[in-house]
Amino acid sequence: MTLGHLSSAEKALAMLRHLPRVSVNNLAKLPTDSLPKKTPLRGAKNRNKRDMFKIWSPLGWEGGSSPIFKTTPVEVSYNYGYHAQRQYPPMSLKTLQLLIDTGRLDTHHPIDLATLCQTKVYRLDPNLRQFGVHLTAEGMDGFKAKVHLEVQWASQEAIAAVERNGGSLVTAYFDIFSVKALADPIAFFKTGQPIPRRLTPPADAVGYYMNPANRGYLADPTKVAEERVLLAQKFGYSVPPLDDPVSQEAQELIKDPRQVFYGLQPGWIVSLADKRIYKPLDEELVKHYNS
Amino acid sequence: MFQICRRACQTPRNVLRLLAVPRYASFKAPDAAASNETVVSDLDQIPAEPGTAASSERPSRRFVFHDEDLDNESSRIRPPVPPSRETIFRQYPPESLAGVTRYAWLETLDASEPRTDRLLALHPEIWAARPRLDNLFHNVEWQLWYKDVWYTHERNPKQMPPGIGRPWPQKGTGRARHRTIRSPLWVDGGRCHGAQNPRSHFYMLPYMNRLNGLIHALSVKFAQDDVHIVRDLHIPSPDPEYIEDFIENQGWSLSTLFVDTDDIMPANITAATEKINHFNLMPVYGLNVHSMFYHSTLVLTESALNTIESKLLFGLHRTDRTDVAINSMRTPRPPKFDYRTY
Repeated sequence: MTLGHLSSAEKALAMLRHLPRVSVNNLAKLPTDSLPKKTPLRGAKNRNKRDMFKIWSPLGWEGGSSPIFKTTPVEVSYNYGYHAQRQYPPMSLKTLQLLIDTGRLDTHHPIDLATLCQTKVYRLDPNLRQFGVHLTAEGMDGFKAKVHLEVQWASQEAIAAVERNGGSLVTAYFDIFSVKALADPIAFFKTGQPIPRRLTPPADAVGYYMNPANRGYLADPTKVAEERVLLAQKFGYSVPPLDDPVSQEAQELIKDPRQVFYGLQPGWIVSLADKRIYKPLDEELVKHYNS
Repeated sequence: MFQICRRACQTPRNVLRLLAVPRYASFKAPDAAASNETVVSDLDQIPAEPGTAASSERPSRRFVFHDEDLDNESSRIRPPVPPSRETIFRQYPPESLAGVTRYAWLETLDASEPRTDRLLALHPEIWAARPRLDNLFHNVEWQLWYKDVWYTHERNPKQMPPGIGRPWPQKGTGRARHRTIRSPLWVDGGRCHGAQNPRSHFYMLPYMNRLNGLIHALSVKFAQDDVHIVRDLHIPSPDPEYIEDFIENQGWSLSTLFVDTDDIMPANITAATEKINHFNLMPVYGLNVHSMFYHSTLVLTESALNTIESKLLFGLHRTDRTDVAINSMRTPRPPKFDYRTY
């Protein structure tokens, strides 16, 4: 019985042909499943919880009674403030092209974070302080789709690859409550809460989202148009005009800086059970959500 | 899920018995009808299927079948028609790393024509998966344990009859001091912190383990030549000897599990296997790892094969597989109290 040329699955199945019949009686778990548990250290070696926390404290944690600037003569840790940083899980242009080719994304409509999360291929967990998608340039040469994207972070190469095909790209900031609503809209609507009012970006992100080179949603549109041309000259392609009706439709669907979902305004309540949308009438609510 | 499990736990014989009560209780003898006397028929007196050999052998039946609900085939709820083999392969083309496509002859339970000339292609992701016997073990263990409830009740000393009071005086005997013979120190005494309530062993195996358990079981059974695919479960005779001889002549092993899509089986095979404990019938929604390995041979109808394959492939390729797999590993908890809604 020579099995060298077979894959592991075929090898296993070929061996099973010559072994006794598998039945309830001869099934067994792995030997590692029934190993005895290691007993913890006892006596003087046993550490208390506080000591364990010192050893296995989270990245960037400052423990102890004396502050870090007194205990260490060097600059702050590389991981300082890691737990508070915003995370942007990446997605490449290659993956985006694959999603479009396999029919999981419809390019006739603008694509935002809710659309990407609905594919279940791109995974986002707002509870881990993940604030949105970072579009990376991997696969930029093979990117042929014409899309209208709204992402949270994008490199210059990714922007160029999208605009070369006649598409458009906007980088937009969403606060964590808006991201939670976008990551799973159905679960959010089932909670019965009104659609939140999107907050302005924090101080360290304002510069990025006001920069027309990043296609920020707070940038001046005329400067963004200039940057479109500049980027095309940098990468050596001609800017296709945005006169396509699909593009016009996409231009109409630009989100307001306070808006979370396309076609839905903050303060509205979407009831999936009633198939109705409830809008606030109270003046204070209207004023709050429109401010 | 628990509902489904309970349903799947019922053996088809139980299902048939439950169904048989209204079905066969309404066999009335024409003579006794006037006296309003209901005769409950035995399964031996099942009306034979029309057009079979048995109907010619037993032309005169004492009882008349007149259950309108079950007699009317159009009113009965039938299982959904599974997709065809071509649809399954078109919808789920085998992955490049999956094994070689398996083939099986389409057979019948008719001794005059035991094998047709149709060769069925079996999806390699289901029938040529790399089997993990430990996963199969955990599936069987789960099936045996999740429905297990211990009703042990151990009494503490206060719950026991008081006994004789002090076994000996407190002082003066030189023996140990005891107030009652129901103390936990005594033989046949009470039990401290013993089991007082029913203890459930219910737990759910993660979704992917259950899914892979079924896939690995089918792969193992097929690799050991223990799977046979038949056109349907119709046999020409309700005689138990017929099915015994047939299986012996075919070289199948003794214990056999017949699986069909519909949970109301054909009358002949129901009658033939009723008294034979090692031949069992099962609807496809009840198919499980334990039953597959409890029986030596697995006989699937073609529609059952299509149903199993399409359902398992859907589970393997569903887009929310990660969510389902992660959620199945979490213990369900009541919803969190949200003060913002009040």
